[in-house]
Amino acid sequence: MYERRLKIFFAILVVMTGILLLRAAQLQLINAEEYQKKATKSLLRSELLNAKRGSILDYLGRELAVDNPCLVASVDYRAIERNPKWIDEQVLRRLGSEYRRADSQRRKQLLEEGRSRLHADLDLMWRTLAEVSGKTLEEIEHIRSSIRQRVDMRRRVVWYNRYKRAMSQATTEPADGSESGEFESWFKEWLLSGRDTPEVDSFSIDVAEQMQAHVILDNISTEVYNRLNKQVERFPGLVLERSKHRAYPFAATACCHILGTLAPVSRDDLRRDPDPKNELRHYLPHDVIGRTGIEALCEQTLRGTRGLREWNASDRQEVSTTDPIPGKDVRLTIDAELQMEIEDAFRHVQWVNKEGNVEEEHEMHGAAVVIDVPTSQVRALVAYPTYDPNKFEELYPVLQADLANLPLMNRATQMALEPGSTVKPIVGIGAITQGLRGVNEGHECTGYLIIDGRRYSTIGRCWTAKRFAAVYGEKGVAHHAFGADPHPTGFLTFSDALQRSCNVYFESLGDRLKLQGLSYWFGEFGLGRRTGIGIAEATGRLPNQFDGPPDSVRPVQWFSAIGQSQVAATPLQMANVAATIARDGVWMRPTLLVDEHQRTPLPTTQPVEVPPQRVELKVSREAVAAAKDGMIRVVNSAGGTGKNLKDDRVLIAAKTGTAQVQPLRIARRDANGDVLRDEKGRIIYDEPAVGTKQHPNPDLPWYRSTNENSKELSHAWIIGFAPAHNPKIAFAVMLEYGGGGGSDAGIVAKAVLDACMEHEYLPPDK
Amino acid sequence: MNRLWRQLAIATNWPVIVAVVVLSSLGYASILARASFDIRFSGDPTKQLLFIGLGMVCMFLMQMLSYQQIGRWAWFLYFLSLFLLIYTILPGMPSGGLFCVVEANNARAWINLGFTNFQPAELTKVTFCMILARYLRFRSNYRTLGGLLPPFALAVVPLLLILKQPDLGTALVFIPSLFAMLFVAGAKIRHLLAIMGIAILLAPLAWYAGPKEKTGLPYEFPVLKHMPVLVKAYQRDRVYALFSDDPAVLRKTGFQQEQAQIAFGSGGLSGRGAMNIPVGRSVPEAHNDMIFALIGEQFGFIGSALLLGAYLVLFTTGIEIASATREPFGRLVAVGTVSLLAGQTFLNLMVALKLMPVTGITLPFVSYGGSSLLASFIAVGLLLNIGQNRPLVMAKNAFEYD
Repeated sequence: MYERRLKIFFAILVVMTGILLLRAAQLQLINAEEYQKKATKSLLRSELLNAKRGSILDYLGRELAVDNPCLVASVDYRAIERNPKWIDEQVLRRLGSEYRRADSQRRKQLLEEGRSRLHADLDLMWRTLAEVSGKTLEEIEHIRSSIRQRVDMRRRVVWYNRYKRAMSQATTEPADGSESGEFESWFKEWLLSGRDTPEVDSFSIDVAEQMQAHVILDNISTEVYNRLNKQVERFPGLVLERSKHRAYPFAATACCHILGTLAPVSRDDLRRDPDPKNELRHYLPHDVIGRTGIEALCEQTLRGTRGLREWNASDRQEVSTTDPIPGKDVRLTIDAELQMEIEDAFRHVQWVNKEGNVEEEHEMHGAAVVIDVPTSQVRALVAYPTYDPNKFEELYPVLQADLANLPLMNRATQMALEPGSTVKPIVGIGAITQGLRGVNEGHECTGYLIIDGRRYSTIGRCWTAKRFAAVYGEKGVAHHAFGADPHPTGFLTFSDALQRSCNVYFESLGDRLKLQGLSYWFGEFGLGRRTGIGIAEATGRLPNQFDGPPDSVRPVQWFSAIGQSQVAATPLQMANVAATIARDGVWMRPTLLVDEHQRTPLPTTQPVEVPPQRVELKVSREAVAAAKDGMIRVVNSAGGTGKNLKDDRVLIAAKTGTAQVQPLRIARRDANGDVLRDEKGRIIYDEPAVGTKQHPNPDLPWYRSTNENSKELSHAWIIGFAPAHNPKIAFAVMLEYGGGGGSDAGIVAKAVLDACMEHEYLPPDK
Repeated sequence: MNRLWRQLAIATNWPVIVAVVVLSSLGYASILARASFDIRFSGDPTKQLLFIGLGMVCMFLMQMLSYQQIGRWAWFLYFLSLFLLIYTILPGMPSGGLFCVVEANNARAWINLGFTNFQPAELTKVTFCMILARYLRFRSNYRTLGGLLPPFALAVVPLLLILKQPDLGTALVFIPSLFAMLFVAGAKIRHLLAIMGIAILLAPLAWYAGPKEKTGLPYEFPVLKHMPVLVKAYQRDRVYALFSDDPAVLRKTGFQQEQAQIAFGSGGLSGRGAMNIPVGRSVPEAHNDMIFALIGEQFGFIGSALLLGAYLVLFTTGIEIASATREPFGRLVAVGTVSLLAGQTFLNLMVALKLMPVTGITLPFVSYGGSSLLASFIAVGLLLNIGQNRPLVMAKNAFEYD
């Protein structure tokens, strides 16, 4: 038995070797295919290919917003996250043969020094990028962190897809089971978790984005490019490359409020992503998204679908490529040239006296809207002042802080003001439809409001009272058989009252309709709610929202009926009122899109509620006909308030409005933009000086009064449609602090109508 | 010189030399591939080649003396290696300069010798083997349970010192070696089995030792919770990772083994070819603990079988030498040497093939590292020395037990 134990020992060794050999055979022979598959999978690298965003075109196909080539400054992801492995690689690359030759002690030292130098260079790079772009270091940090979130999210998605594939292979469940449902909740949580350190370990590279440069500064100038280009060697990871950015080549300022802006996606956008499971469609941090205007309204149409390129990391062979699908172009109903001409009309408003001399010329703030009556397409939607969207980012702080001019505000849709007499057609149509007054029933206007036999001498006077009182004394009877356009009886019918814009007539109707009735009819014609055009809108104000003392309800009824106090509307809403009357009482939702199917906003950027496209209002036919007749006479009769719109080529119908307003007050702010308050906690306001023709306010030329002495202020309105008997266009013009509806807004309205004729949206009918 | 040449000419040496050359070449090829793909790879393939050469020289130089002459220095060498081990774990050693202790992978296991780093634990393996053989050669009291205490003590002292560094992998190698030598020397099988049984029974206690806040386990046991934690958190994770197929775990703790397995398995029968390691390049420590994965990926099952075959040749030769040596010291040293090499090989390969949790241990002759290479070559040199210098023994055969 001499050798027995040795033999046993030997046997153990042989058996162990045998086990290992069997295990090797199991892995390399039996399961080889499985591991080869796994290897291929783990060697698969993918890269997203960005899609071009669709262009925004005007009605005639001119490009208003396009993705243009530009230069960008990008930084390698590994420099963004300061990947230690990458940093060492960079250090070794810099050291070159010096490192190879050094002994281990020296190597360690070289590596340490190199690392700290590299970190210092990276610090300098971020500072330089901040400096050349005018951004703060915090803003640059923010960009960096959003890029990191983007890549993390991308890795998680890739990881999840692999995990799901692995799970569906392991079980016999059909693989498409995952397509229909939501993400598992844990994954959704994880996907959006704000943690900076990825759960996914740092060993492996999953997505090419981890090794690619990401844009830090978009659309850099040539000077910045040259400056950075000199330091590319010094700044590891900095890449200056070509990319695309949004540019506005045509009618940029005129369309600035319509087109809207792009902005990086927010966490809320990510959470409410409509297509979170589609790798090529879902939003990633650092993506841009249409935040406002058409960019937001048509986001899902304009935004393309990303492409995906997959390749094998071992041999760089392409495995598959899905080409990106560029976003679709969106065609607007806006005619950009018309838009520009109208913008110009606001920029240079000319007051010409009877002798034909220019008395006054400067810009006016306000808005103008032109609607195509049959289709309800908005042909022009101008808000003035404007700004250059090509410089939006750099100008933003200035624009945002300009509280006197509010250039960022889209006055056409976001500014709800008292519309003055332009609401009178609605009041009349409503009252007649309700049977509160006959179409041809006359109402005598003595210049003073008489309710229940009581004559009010100070409030509710007709606008004529002031003028006639001087001639005929306190008892003077307005709109009677004298003056410029004598009324034979002095008893005004609905159309007579419209023609002369008689306040007393409509105040009396307001008294009968009450707040509820007024609000109902204003609402029917689209006031007090969003038109649903798709870009940011104000709702305005309706009389029934009045919550003052009960004894002032009655005056509010009167004043609301003439478009003051408890009613406010946007120029778009008022243009649509004109269009509704032009269509004989058919309300239509105004649109900016030639193809309504391109209206594809994200839930985060748009209210879900959109009014129906077409509503036939139940209104008296005769009342509407009378309203139209009255509006025609506003322009075309001697006693009309909008005579200066009269045109030889086409019959125009309109209604003017002059809404008295309080002086402009601007809350005073400190350097941070916070509102200042006095010791009692009240907001401190600045009241700019009111300009007049003789004494203009050079800082705010548009802030003016037409009355040299009283310095009364009013917003000037005019709405209308043409050709009057076969309406093609409806319009509204509003001048902020413009003065009189006919005399001042009329100047711009005339330019609007001339431009429409020139562009053949308004055919002559004479 | 003449003597050296004569020894080289002896036929029995040649299989060993061929095996060692095969193993070193496979290792060198893999390290070369690794170095060319990973700029951060701090090692230098040329250095590996240099150490292979140096190792060969050492192996032949071991033939100059008779192993018995070396054996007389066994106690001295044993204590020298213990001293060096203590030196590495002493607190407050300088962190730079000549003879400083170098820390790598969180273990203070290396001493800087200027031109290279030296790992005393590698030397200790050989000296342990010699001292145990020297202790056991003429005794028989290890056939009692009490007599087993001194041999265990000889093993436990360096083992604890190495664990303190901490280098669990290297420490583990002492145990199979101790058992193999005691077994061959003739310790009672029931004693050895009893000790193993107790160890197996105590293993769960070690696993559950410590309060649950520290162990991370969902429960704790009355007495055990007052004990210090014996299994570190990362070791626990590695054990979990071995049995897990959760992708999240496989991407973290289990990544090294999982990726190594993919690299190894994807080699198939004939491999991807030399220098072609697309998967293996991303395996952490692929030049070291996981080098078998690189060999599998490059050379396939053929390469794996070649490697295992080379080891088997090495071990068989070692057993043959032990069997032919009647002199007890030589015989035990031969068995010890074989068991050391085999233990280390099997531990490494089982980790690489995912049959065991990750421990961190090199593959003899193959992995990157000077100390490991030199120790392996010296061990084989010693083995050959025993084969060449068999003294005539005029006594009854040693270890005549059953």
